[in-house]
Amino acid sequence: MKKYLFITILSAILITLASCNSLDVNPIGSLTGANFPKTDADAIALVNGAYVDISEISTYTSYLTDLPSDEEQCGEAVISAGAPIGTYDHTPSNVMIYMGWTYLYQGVTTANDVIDQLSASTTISSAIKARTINEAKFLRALYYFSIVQYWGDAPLVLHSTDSKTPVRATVDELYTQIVTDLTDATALPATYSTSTDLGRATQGAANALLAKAYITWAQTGASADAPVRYQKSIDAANKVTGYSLTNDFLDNWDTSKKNNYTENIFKASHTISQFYSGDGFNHLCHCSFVTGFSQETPHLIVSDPAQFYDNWDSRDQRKGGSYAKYLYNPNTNSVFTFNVPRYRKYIDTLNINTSATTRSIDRTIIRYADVLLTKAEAINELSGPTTEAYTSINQVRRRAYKKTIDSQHLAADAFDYKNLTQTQFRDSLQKESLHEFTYEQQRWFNLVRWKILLKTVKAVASKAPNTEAYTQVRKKSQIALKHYRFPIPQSERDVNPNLTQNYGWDGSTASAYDSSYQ
Amino acid sequence: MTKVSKNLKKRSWLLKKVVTLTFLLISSLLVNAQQQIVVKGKVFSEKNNEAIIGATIKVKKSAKGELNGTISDGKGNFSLNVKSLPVTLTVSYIGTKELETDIYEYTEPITIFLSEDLNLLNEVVVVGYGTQKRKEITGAISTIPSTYFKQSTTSFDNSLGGAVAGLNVTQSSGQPGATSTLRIRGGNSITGGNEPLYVIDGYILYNDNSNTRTGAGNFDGGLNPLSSINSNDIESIEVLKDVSATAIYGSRGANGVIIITTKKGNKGSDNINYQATYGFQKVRKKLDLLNGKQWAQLYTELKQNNGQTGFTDAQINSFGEGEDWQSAALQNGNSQNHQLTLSGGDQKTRYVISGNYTDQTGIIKNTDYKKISGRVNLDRTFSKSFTAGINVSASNSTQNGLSNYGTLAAPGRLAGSYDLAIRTSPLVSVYNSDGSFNYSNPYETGDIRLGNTTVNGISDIVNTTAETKLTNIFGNFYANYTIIPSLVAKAVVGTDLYRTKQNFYAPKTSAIGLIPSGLGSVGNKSSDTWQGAFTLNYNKKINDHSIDALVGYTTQKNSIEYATATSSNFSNESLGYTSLQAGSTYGAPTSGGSESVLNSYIARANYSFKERYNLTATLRADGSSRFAENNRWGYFPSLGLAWNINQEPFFKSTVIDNLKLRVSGGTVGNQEIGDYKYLATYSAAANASFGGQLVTDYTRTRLANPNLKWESTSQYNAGIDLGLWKDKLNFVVDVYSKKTSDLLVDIPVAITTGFTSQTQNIGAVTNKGVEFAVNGTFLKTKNANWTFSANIARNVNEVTSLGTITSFQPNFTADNSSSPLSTILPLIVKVGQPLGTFYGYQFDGVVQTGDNLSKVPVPSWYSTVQAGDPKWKDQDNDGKITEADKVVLGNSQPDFTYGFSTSFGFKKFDVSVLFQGSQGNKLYNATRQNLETYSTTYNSSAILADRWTTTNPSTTIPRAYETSKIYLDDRYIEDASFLKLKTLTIGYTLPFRVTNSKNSNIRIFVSAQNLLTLTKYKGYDPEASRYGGDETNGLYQGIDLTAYPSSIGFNFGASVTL
Repeated sequence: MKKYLFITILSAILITLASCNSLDVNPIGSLTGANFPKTDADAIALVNGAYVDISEISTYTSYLTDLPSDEEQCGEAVISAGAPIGTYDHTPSNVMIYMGWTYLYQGVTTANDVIDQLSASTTISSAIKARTINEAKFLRALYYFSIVQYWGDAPLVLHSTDSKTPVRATVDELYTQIVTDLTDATALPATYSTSTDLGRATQGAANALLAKAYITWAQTGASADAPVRYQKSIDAANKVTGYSLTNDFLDNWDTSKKNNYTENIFKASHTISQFYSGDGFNHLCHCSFVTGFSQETPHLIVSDPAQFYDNWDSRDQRKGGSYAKYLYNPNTNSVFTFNVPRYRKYIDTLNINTSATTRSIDRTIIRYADVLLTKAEAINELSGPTTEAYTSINQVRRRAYKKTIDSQHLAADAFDYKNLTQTQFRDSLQKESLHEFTYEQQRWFNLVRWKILLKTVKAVASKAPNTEAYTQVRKKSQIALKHYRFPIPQSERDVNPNLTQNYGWDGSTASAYDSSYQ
Repeated sequence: MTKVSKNLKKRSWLLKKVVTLTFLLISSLLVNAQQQIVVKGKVFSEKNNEAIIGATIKVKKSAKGELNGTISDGKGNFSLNVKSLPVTLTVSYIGTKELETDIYEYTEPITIFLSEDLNLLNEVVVVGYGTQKRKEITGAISTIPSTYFKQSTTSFDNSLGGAVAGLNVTQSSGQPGATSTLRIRGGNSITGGNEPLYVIDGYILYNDNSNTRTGAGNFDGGLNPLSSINSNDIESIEVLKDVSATAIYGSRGANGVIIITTKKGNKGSDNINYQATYGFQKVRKKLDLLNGKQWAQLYTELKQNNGQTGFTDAQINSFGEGEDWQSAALQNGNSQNHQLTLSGGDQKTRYVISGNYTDQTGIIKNTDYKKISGRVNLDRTFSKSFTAGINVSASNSTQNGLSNYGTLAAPGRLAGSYDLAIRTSPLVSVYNSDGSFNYSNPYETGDIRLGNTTVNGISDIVNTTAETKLTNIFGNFYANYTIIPSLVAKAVVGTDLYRTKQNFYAPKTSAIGLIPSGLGSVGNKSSDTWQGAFTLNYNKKINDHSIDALVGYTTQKNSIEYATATSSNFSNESLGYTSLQAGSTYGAPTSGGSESVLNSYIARANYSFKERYNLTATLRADGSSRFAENNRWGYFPSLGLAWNINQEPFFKSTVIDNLKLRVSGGTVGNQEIGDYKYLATYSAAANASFGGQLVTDYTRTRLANPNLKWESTSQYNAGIDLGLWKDKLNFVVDVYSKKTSDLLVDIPVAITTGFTSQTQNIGAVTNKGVEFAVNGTFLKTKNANWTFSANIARNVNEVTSLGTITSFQPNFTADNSSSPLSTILPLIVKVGQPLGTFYGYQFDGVVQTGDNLSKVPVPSWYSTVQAGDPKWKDQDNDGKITEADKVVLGNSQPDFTYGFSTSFGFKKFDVSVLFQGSQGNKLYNATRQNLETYSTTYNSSAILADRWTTTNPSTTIPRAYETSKIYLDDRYIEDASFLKLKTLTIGYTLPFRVTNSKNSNIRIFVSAQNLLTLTKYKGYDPEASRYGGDETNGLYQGIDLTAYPSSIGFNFGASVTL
């Protein structure tokens, strides 16, 4: 009897354990493709993921787009990962370049996933579906626009099912996709009504980016196609409406005016604790002001103040808005004078003591001044300095000198550009662009599309003082033709044998750039 | 060892009767009165509690030297007349060990248990789901000599190095409570788990180091979950190496199995043992670094070579030795260990109750380890057919460690707080003149500066809290029921529960806390496993045929949950992690978990004919929730054959008393890849924001692979066991070949997929090897004994296929805690090479003045070369040093590993010595590369004082130059062969007893750990392994990036048995 009792108990335990231990285990803490995305809220949360990389990449943007130009140098030790980019000592194994590639392609594939998943959905409302897909297309175009400028030919991945070892698509193929996506994205809302949607891609952002993409394509693509692309750039710029220039230049980076989209058209958001506790993760804030009120060199700093600061007309509010030579220090209740001016835009004067650590100023991606200058440039390239071109460039110019004009009661056109040849207009525009976009991650892109990278950098390097502080600036004279593109990261080529290397870099078989690249 | 072989001479003496002098007096009076005393008793077999008929009971010696004796009757009872007390009886019976028992008093019949007399061959060995006679075993099973783990250490696995052939143990760090890496016959897997499976008292435990990592904070190193098992509680450890032995564990047998049996009480006795050990530890060696003056000279030269200025000669001459940061970070460690064990039993019940307290401070400041643990093992015989028992242990350990700087991506590849301390310029003082920490380092230019404030490495070590607390409860219940005499049903149901709490606080003055203005983080993780194993065992001997068959069902469920909270920007730091709400900015909370289920059916048949021909056939079917539905079930068969040649009638030898040939083959599997890897899942985060408000985003967490399936390892083993002169000398030789296919690999994929890696079944790895072990007894007399054992093993590991690719380099940024190595990428997984292969340039000397510079291959990252520059070998002779010139620079796999130990006892003295050695293994000394990289920020190795200059044309050390282009070259791949005197113990048993118990003794002992290390390795320790992430990760072996230094330890202690 006891025997059967025992066997019965044992069987009961066994059956109980066996039945509760099914091999079908549902993941804890994450959703699977079977149950996500289903609702409008899901669609929005999914597309939010595609915005993550524009914030995460902020760390790398200045190292990749200002540092290898004429106007910035690195204050870090030579042994850091960033410093070699400033002296053109970087190699295909450089971590900054690898991380840039990583975040851009992560952004692309996240956007692809949004488009694939939401397109297949039958439960999400058509309005939200259309909007979120277009947001993703805008973001995908934004990521590819950086990719094509950094690396030229590059893999064009559009679906999560695409090849794991893609070949490099041509620059033209990439731009074709960029303008297709941006054209679709122009169907986005012009504005958003709720505050928590402010910052999403808009119709204006799509048109503004389209204008920039077309002008860049015009300048770097086949010259025969250039006129059409300049015209399309102008057309797109004309469609950017509802924006104006702020009277106060620095309002664009004021943390108390994050929701002010007067001039800012599209920004990367940086909100406290977005990635780490207490940190907005905008490295531009950190790198320009990490040494605070001291004379120690921060990580990123102007290459040579004599060439970029001292000779800048002080009546231009962008000088003080771009460089902090003097800054009020609330701790000592006095004005601190820096021996070498600091980049001003990403110093958070409302939270000055934590500016380098909370890093919560939104990173400008496109603002209206950019659209105006793009339009002026496209017109000048297409048909010389027309009235419309002057109107555009002088709008930027008048805001720059607005405080001087107002305080000294000058005529509104006192600082206007007038009566320039096409070449003079071009030179003026390039100078205006330098002044307008200091430390806004544009300089290297602009020098590349203008094809004046080598000569511009070499000129600055040769004029740098022969003192210790300018060692890295003088080393900029090492720049070579290959620096018109970044190398494809070595580790990526290791796992994708289909990736060729850019001209001049280790393992490349590509031919040199033509003589138009100076 | 078997559970019964511990006490050679057993006493059966009733402790509960306290002997009093009065009683002795009465006894002696009785003796004087010439009265006869009748001693009655009963003799049992310890094995099955049955009465022994015909046992011989003799008086060994009486006061008058008389000898008489008797024989136990049909019920095991005996009655013997003795003339006086005390008296010593000897009890013997064929097939059992002779037992002596002292009788000081006699009030009631005594009970005597005789244990089986097992020579090595008749010994019973613990195997998966049962036991087996060693004679009938077909697989390769090694027993760890108890000398290896009975020494008190923080974790038993740390002490197994060198114990048996084919088990390679690497103690990755000198940090108290740190993890070890164990490999049985090489690593089979690339990124799937390579650690062996542990089976403790029949309960399966996969040692998962992630159990003690909650995800909070920036912890360096980990707490070893196995340290929660008290090594003093262990009775025996068996290592199952080949497939015949491990296939019963199917999916988890591929990496070998370590079977641990904890102590059981002895029937008929009660023992109390207390052991206390005190010790101290000091660093084994220090690194030789530049002093103040030398560093000032180097600094100046670097500045000048860069067109800048440094110090004047007068300034340089004014600097003396400077600050010794390394010594400032180190201290002498000390340790104590207390162990109390109560054990014993009677005819129906056996018990062990033990408690342990361990406290060890590390040799780096503010690091320590504490553990308190307890155990109860209880077995009860309810009836002839039903026995049941429980084994329960609970422990609580606390480790204080260092912080890891990996995520800072600090320039100069700073690995952590200790690395910062030793690399700080000697011109910077640790303390200000007022005794406070100095936070002003003018040479610091990187991320660990804020305004004029820099981080002080010593302050960071001392003031950062990185505490891991692990509470582990481990319990299993078993019941054996004999249905009919040859059919036994067994159930083992148990659980192991891990509760980890991690506390982290990095103050504003620390590297981690500098930018966020103080960072606190806490994490909780629980890992609960429930397991049941139900087996039916049929054991029958019919004439010459003996059959032992087993079928069973096992099921297991593991649930992991975790939560972390982080906050920063603390105005007042005194509460640290205990008040995260005191921080003014909060990080996003995280929570999550995972679950896995493994259901299995097992079957095994052992067949033996005349004990000559033995066969073991095993089949296990495993169903795992870690794979997609179509690939869930894996089937793992094995077959083992053994031939005891010495049992053949034709075999006649007076020398050889054991000669066995064994062969086995089969397949086992591996599923240690983590949960849900086959699924695409979407995880929430708040990494996006609009309008200054964080919003929820969902992103895909991985590149799914619905085709994932079991990794499988096919193995073949052949072995010979040889025993000479009645087991005085035993040899074991094994050769084996393993091939692991469908490897579960986190293979790097192009980032254009959106991910850096994907888990795939790809490629194959082989391990082939030979093992040799010998043990013997040189001397065995009444007063002296001398035993020894030695083993040596060679394993050849090779990656034979990687699917469509031929190689990949493990990515050090995927594991974001390891970015210091992300630019160097020192490792490669390459077809035709073993795992742990180093990849880089070959150093080719230094360019000398007058060399034809046009003949020197120019690295693609330089524009020109000049005298004093390093040269690398131009493998493809294209005149340039490019990626194409990188070659394999050796690997971390040893050519062979070996160990030997010897114990010597003379009268009351005992001495034991354990050596462990490894030959041909290489280590990437990343610490040295960092220290030999010229820097105007950090200190360097003293050897750089002998650098190339025009007047000192060094051929090995290039000129002073600062560069960001740090590549791996073979200068930093070092031979890390070593021979260590791991333990030397000298004991003395005092010549008196505390009580009258025969087992009672007092032993005092001294021991030394790591007393001697013979190695050419230039770092802290040739076993070091640290890359910044989980040290046991199979992909990242062989890197020493400032591992915690190893120590030499001295212990002294006493053991008292009542």
